[in-house]
Amino acid sequence: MKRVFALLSLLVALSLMGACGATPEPQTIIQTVEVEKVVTKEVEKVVTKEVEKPVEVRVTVEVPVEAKVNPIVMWASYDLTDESNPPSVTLRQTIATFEATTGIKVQYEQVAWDQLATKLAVQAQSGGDMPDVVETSSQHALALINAGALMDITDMAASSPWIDQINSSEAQACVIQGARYCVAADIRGGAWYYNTADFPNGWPATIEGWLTEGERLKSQNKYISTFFAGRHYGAVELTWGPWFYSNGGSIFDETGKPDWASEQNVQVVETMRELLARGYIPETCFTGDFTAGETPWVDGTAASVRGGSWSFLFIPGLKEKIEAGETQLGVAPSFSTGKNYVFLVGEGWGIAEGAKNPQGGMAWINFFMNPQILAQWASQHYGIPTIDEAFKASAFDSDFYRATARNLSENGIFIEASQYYVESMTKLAETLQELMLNPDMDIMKALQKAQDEIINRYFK
Amino acid sequence: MRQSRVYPYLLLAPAFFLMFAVTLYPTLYSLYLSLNKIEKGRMTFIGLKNFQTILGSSDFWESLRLTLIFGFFYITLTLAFAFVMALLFNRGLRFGGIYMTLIFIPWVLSDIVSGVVWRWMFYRDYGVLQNLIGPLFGDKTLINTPAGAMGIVVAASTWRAMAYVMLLLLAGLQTIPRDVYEAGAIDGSTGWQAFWHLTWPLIRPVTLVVIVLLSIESINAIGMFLAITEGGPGRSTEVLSLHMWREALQFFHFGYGAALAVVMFFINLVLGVVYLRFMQTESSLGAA
Repeated sequence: MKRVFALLSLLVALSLMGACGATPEPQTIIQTVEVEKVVTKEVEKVVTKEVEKPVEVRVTVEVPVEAKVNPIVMWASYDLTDESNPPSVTLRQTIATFEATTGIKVQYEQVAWDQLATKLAVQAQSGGDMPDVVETSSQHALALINAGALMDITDMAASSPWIDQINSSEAQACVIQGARYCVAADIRGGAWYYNTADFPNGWPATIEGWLTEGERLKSQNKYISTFFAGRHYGAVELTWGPWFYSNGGSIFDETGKPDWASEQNVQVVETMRELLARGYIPETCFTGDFTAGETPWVDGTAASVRGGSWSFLFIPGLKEKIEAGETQLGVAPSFSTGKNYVFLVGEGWGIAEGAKNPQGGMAWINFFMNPQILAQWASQHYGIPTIDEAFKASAFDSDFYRATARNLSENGIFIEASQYYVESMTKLAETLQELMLNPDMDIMKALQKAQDEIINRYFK
Repeated sequence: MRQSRVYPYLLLAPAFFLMFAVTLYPTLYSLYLSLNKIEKGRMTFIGLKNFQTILGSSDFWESLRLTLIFGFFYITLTLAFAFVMALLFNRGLRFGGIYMTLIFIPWVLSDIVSGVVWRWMFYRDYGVLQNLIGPLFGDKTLINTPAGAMGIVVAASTWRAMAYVMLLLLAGLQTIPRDVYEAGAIDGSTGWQAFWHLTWPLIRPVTLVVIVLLSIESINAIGMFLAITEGGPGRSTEVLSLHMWREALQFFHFGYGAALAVVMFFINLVLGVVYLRFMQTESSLGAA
């Protein structure tokens, strides 16, 4: 018996999760006061990283009285002590200005970017203390809504000063089934970068052009391109999704169910198999992680790379090559529809369900959605601000931004919404990876099987 | 008298409270969670529906199959290599301390760190081991094939666990009195006979403990899989624990994830009971 008890204790210790915490009481607005203050704020110039003259930021924020009583808890991925990272510096300065302007103290907690959504969802599930405002991406919004971690802020945002200024892309990113769950500060999107010297005939904007140029570059021991198309759902967002759309296919139908088993999607996979089999693209695209997918371009074995408008931050040497004119922004290869689609994502802020001071969180968002702050923030992330006035800032006065904005506005596309977005996209990414690595697999059958599994589990 | 009867319980209370807080409560909560569905933050009691879904899920059965395959090779190889090493060390090696230190390095590294190194070693263009071993398999990128990926995780896990298992077996070997072998030698036993009729029966209880430990470890294995394959290519290395992790922490299906954890708990429990049965048999045989 003692042994059984000892063994049970051992097994118990090896298992499972759990946590506890109190659910905060909802707060009611008692009174609203308007605070107007002129503050002096140093703004760093984004592209050159030189510090500009201090500029005046005139911010009008409506702050409910009780919101000022409590501090707000903010979760974001930036290390506020990192002086070498412009967004970190900007966020730290903006927090200081916000505190001085509104009287609301900010309790900042840094959470790694890839852990933000998970931590928020786990915290919501376990009844732990939720942040008032959290860095949010439209990529994670649906999963967080399902986990009960993001607050519906439609009513709170309705009276916000920025609501009439934001562009239509922002609404696509953050308004889900008529309700607003986040506020996107900027829109970023997929982008193809190519080395001009490798493409004397110009960048091939069609998949047929890829086959021709791929053969020519192969004779020079170069891949035509490299990108991430592994088993993470981001591979579908960034790579496969835009190609399916360009060939007339889709990922979800109007009810949010998977719609993968189509001739159009099969044709895209067949084309990619052909590119891989001929050695025009590296196998790493389908097997490695995000970084591994970029490595062939960094080491010079690939003539182009699919990254995002944000890639300056992550791909070594990209910015320098763009500035030197050695690398240019291309469009995504088009399939039968002739459209050069690229993926769009909105990055910004949300208020957590169960936040103790949601009005304070909203005050932060209202403060942040000021064109001057937005311009600085968006340009430091190489995104396009969601308020058009912000895009007039000098930080965006470059060929890169003009080309990026044109590319995103002409070719940008959000993936259709689905209640089971992450689950479905992950399944699709895994299936596509298997199809690419195993050329003997029947494409239509595999897509149909994966689609049926998702429908049977979640939609019946 | 009364005071002295209460006193031991008072002393036990802090430990019991700690056990309850960090072990029993989370376990019971997980059991409760496994009977619920969480959608848009609302928890709904659904009884055994999660378990029903699990049993009807091809993903679950596939993960279980992969776990068993992994477990079989992991336990067999780890035991085999560790046994050979333990026998060598037991005979006494020159520079044994140095070898022991070297063999122990993988054990002190974290799963993730050693897993990432193994993954890099099997990258197509840059991987050292891929370039050495790949040609033997038709120049395939091993980590990109289902069998190859599983093989790499088995190899890495074996490499890491070997030292610890070897130490347990060595401790067992060193408890065998010398005079047993001397008596065997007088009776004319050869090396193999001495191993089979003397060493093995005496070390069998330790081996059983090791097998149970490795079995539980293989059911719960996640670190190496996360670091090396993340469950890929496709779903070919998505073992049970990784399946549970994804359901709970990637898809936020906390109820379903908890139900998977409960299933894993019972698998481990069965293994534990089997182990106890063996031990009891061994004890009764020893007593007889």
